[in-house]
Amino acid sequence: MKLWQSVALGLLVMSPIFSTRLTPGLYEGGRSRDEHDREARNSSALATILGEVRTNMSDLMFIKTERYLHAGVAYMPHIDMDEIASSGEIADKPKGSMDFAAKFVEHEAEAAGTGDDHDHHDHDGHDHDHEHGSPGTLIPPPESDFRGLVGVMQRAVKPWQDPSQPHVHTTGKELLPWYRLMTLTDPHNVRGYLIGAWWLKSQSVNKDLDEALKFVQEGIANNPRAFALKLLEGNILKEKERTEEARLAYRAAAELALEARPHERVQPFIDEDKSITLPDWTDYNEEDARAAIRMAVLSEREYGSTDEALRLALRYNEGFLGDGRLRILIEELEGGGPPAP
Amino acid sequence: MATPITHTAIPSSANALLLLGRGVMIETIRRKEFYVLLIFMAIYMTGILIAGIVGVENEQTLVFLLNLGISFAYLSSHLLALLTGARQIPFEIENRTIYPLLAKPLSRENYLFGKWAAVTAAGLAVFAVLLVMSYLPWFFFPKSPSLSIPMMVQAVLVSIVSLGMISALSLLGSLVMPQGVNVTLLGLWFLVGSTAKNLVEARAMLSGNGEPLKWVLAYLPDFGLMNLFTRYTDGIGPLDAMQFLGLLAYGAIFTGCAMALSAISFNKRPL
Repeated sequence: MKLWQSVALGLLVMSPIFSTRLTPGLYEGGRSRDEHDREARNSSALATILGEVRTNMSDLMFIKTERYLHAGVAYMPHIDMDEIASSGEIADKPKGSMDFAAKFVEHEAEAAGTGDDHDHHDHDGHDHDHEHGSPGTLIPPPESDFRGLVGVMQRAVKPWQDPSQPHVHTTGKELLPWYRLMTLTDPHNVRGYLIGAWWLKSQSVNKDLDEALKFVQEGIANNPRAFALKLLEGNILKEKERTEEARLAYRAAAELALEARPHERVQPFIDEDKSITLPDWTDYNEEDARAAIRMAVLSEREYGSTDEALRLALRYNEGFLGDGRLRILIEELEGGGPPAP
Repeated sequence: MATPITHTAIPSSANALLLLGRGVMIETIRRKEFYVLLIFMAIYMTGILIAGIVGVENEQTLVFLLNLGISFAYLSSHLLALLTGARQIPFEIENRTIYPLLAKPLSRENYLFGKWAAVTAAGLAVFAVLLVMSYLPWFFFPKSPSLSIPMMVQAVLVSIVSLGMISALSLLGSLVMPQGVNVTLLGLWFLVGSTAKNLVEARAMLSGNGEPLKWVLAYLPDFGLMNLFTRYTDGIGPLDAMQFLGLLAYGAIFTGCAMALSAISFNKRPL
């Protein structure tokens, strides 16, 4: 064996030392993963012509979950993951809606006495009262189907129901294997971990907080910089009444959010009161980040010390200028404010 | 006065390598795969032109189309390199054209290196052409999406290394297994290897013995690591220097090893 051959083989033997640390696919945000972008793509006629071809496998799996959620009935592509995750409803996304993790935290914040008065979605997968559109089914109803007998047969053989009727929603349990598969094939699919863990903790029957915690912690191990996962971990721990661990998780989420947030690029959007459309930082990231800092302060006030909560709030306020909720919290903390419930 | 004509009786090694490269390029252009790729790209471009007439609705759709085109360029060039590399040596042996080549002052190692360079260059030429064509949707949308040029440069450089890697692996495969098996196995590994590795690793991590397995699996080339174009179309910035150099080294090591093993196998092979 020649020298160059020995060197090449020797380098291969040693290569796992660095090759196991190569993670070019590990990053926050990104157009292919962002829900707003995903919806824009799905609404494109061209994307429909291309036959639901998507940029990645997990996107296809998200479409699959929609079918499962509707007991097999295929509705027109109409994906709103916020609604699916929070209520099991397929609906048009209302303008200015926020990420499901943030919604949940808003709910928590309200419970803690700081939230605004606005409608919230329940999280039990059944009980929801928000308005929603009525997307058509892929198999058309009889009155608009020119195919005659073929259409009758297709409606009889395939899962179908009249699109004007209320949607039948499953409990979401059937979706869980898909989220498992999503995260197994792509361990950096943060959204898969988030929604999967959400469903696990939100089952009305056999609610499995332990399994949800295990799932989200697996996500954190694979994506240590994903602050939204830390935020959800805090939520689950809080629900399990492991308050000290929840406080630490919220704190970690807030610190990661502070590190990840591109302040100089985001602030002009906030100042001009417009939607954030940076490819690596969107409205969803912003809402999650704000939820993380608020929960870090709230949990510190509730389970730690008020002084430390005030110190944290002031520090976070430097990075999150324009967050009204945080300013209210600061005023309350400075004035010795209302005690946490 | 007429210029005297000089003949080189025996071509130098460099000349022989150039001849090898030229032969591979000509053969690639003559093969039907090249035209199949062109037809596919023409279908894609027709779709894009129709989209241009109808109108690209939003930036997300533009980026989606761009990603589709670049992914096609990446996939096609790799598959072409794989198919071209896999048949080089078996065909030369079968057609007995390898004997006059090796009768010249050309070592078997140089022959292998020449074949590898030529196959990589053929893949690269296809990649370059298709990559340029994949930017066609850009002209039908008034606003340019924010994409990182340094990230694009990194993605292209890593793709070049990746093409070298698949060319070397296909040459190695052609020396140790039948052509059909080589193409099928390497093609499947190129397409789904990264996902399969992730799946096995994730299962092993859950059962608690993930780290040793992760180390073992690291000896299998991961083409998923080398495709940075989704990161690019996602609007993410460039990789840091260590990650970028690490990826280049990763590709170079696998290429070097595949070439080393090919040389060992080829030198021992009776012709």
